[in-house]
Amino acid sequence: MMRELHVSLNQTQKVRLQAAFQHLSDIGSQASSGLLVSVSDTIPVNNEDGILKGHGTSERDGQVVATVCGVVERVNKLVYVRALRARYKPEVGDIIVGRVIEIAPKRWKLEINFSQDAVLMLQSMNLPDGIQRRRTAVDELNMRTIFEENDVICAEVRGFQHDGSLHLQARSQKYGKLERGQLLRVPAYLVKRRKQHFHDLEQYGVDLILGCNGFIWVGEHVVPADNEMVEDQESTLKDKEQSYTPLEIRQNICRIANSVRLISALGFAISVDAIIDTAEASKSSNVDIKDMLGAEFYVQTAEREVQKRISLLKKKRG
Amino acid sequence: MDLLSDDEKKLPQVSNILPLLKRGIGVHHSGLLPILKEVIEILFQEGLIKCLFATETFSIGLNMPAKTVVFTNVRKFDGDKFRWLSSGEYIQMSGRAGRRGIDQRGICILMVDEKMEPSTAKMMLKGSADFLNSAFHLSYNMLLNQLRCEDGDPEKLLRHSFYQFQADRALPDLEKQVKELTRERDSIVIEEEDSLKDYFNLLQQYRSLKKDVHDIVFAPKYCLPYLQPGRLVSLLYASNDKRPSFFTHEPVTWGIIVNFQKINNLNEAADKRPEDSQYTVDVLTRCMVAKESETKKSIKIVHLKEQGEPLVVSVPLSQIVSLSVVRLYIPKDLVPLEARENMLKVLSEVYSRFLKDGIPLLDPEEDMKVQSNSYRKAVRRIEALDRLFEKHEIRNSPLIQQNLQVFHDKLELSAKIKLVKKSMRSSTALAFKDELKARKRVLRRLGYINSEDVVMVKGQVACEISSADELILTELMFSGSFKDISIEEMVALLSCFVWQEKLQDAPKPREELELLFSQLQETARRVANVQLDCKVQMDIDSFVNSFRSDVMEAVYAWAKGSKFFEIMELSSVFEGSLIRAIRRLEEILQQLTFAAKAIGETELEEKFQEAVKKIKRDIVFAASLYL
Repeated sequence: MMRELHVSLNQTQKVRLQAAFQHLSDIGSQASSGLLVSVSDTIPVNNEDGILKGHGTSERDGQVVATVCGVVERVNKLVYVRALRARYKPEVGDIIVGRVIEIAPKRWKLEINFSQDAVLMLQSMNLPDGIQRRRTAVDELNMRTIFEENDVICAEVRGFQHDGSLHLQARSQKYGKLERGQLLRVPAYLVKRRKQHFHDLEQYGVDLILGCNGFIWVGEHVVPADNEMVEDQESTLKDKEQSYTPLEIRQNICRIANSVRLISALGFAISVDAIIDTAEASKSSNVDIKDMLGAEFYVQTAEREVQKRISLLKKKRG
Repeated sequence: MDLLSDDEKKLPQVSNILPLLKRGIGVHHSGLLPILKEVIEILFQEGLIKCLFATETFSIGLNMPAKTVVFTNVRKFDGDKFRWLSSGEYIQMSGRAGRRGIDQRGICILMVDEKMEPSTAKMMLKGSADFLNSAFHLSYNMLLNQLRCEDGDPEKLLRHSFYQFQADRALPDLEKQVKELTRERDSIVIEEEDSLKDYFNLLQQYRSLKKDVHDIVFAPKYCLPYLQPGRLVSLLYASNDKRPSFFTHEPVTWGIIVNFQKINNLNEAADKRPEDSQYTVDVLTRCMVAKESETKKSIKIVHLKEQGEPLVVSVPLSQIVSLSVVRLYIPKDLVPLEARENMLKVLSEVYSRFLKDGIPLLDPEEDMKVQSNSYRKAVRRIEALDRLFEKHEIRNSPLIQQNLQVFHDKLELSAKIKLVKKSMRSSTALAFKDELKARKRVLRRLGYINSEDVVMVKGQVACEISSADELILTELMFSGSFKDISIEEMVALLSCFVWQEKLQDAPKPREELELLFSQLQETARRVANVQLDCKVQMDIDSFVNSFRSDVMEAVYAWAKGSKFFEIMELSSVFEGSLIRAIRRLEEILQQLTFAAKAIGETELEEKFQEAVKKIKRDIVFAASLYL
């Protein structure tokens, strides 16, 4: 269960961390009853008729074998393997954060941690003037005023086209360019699909976007702009340049970002609750932002997670 | 027309219509082959068809004006009965008369071959267009697609729907209605209201008790042995005005039993016990016959002493009040009028002979051997109530009848107010809110979404299916039903989802297909039960029966590669309907292909693709002439 760590631990810390992980794996083995398989393992299907072989499975010599390492899942007669550590696989409706890498005719290409670049068409996003209309050649020429290369943007997965390319859409005020914050990359499997991926952490004045593709955005809170854009756009632009993010908020952003880094380094699932929890803990125990990634707090976080899971387990058993 | 193969040119529909078209006569209805329909439409627009016989389909959507529109009838069959045309339909159809730029005026001819009330005629010809009402309804597919988007909040969608808008707009009207009704109710003032109320309640109680007793005594197992021909029975007869009467004793007359029979209800299963079924009794009595029109007669039972014809009528058991001990001899032949008249004379004689203390009745307990505790209890309570009535002060008031009537009206008004208020409440709340909740519950129960409303694997499959019942198809897919059957069988099974018409004499599909169909019905029943458990309002049987196996055989043959005229021989449906069904089938197959892709089942995906290839050929998918 040990993950690649970049922290140097002293002897006692090492022992404590090992004990914590031991606990976790104990609890984990109690809780999950799923069958773990690795590549080419046979999946027992007791010869029922009409077994459906889903993702991560294949048929060989009349037997169902796994093609990835993971947990066997069954839904009625469908058998599939949920990979433990896999690349991000988009599904329709996922919220993703990505970086623009290329501007092509009528489209932006985004790097989103998938096996191919995603496509955001000019027509599948709202224009800055908020008017619904056909996109003209002028709009196409002005594409760089909306997003430039290396901009970080947030969008939703619209679906796969017939040619297999992945299309995104950003038809909402909350999608679009992300500024004044940090982009973090974590393994995509740590981010679980939820009802909510946009979070406004009011006590910190920070926006948190947990992209399903493992890109996480921590940035200054922005008030969603009104649909009718103000006419004197230039003056607002100037205002923006002049205004700056206050130091306190910058610190908060860093604190949250470090919490995310810490949780992902420990290999725990990333959720808002976990992030806030960690950030609060660091604040209450007076850990400096820069020390959050240090050895001591690292071990403490692991131990806190153990406590949390134990109490959860107790609650479940009543 | 050269698009069609030689075989298809020989289809009866094609070869029959050609000579007609050559003479400038056309036919247009929804059962035509699409290509024929288009040919006729184009010919009509070119002015090459001088006379077109068309159904209502022609009046909607297409821009096909004519000089003259002729209605051959003013009634139309709408599925269960012939009704007058609605004004909206009339506007649509008559509006086709007159071509812009060609005709001075359009001519519309109505062929009326029966009597038409002026008011209905006025409604039809001068009425306004049909109201635009929202037919919006929730579907699981919509719900799932909303749920898997980040900001997709189904409630928000509902709140902005036209349906909600209409409900909101109806609110002030309802309020006004409540106000008016309340005013009306309050304007009714009755003296001594309390004691009247008391009396009224007593009366109600008395009635319900009487009814209980009646139900017990006239349960078929007790009374059937006594329904012999010739027995005198007293009958209820409706008084002239329709308002409920408030006498403690209702008007009765006497009649002679001729026969009794069971009502054969077609819907009822045969295994019901005889006691449960309904009976009618044929009774000879005096009736008033009123002629309403040439074909219809209304028969009303009147009192013996009044004018009327002696007739044998069937009455339900509930209309018989009591049975007497007296039995009369009935002549074998009651057809001649005199025989019946004589019988009634005898009857009135009996009646006048016993006038003093009434015709002796069968005693339920002693004669009819009714043994039941509830009967005895009810009888005792009736006696008690009788005494109460006698004591009641208001009984002797001269205005008692009118007062009771007014009181009754008042109560009815109150009930109405309650009803309107209830509908007001439901429209102030979000329309569909309860249904939304119930449907989410169904999805959770079936494992389409989890407790946090995140769409699961099954939900992803259902998301892809939008043109047929998504739940059942998904369930079938996940139970592996499509896996082991051949492509042709699969196509035939799917045809049940697209075919809705009911055929009377549809041949049963062969055994393998029948087996698949019963599998489908089983799944449908299961899903329907879950939905019912989750309080989604539905009728299980009609839901299960909405899947029709009628065209399975034809579609099976089509997927096997049969010619179109061959499959037409297999079923007695219109060509056009079958083609529509197969086209929809192709759509579903495409969606299922995507669904199979979503769960990563490549074999199934290929199978669906293969099926699409097999059915997408020839006349069914002939390109439209408009393109």
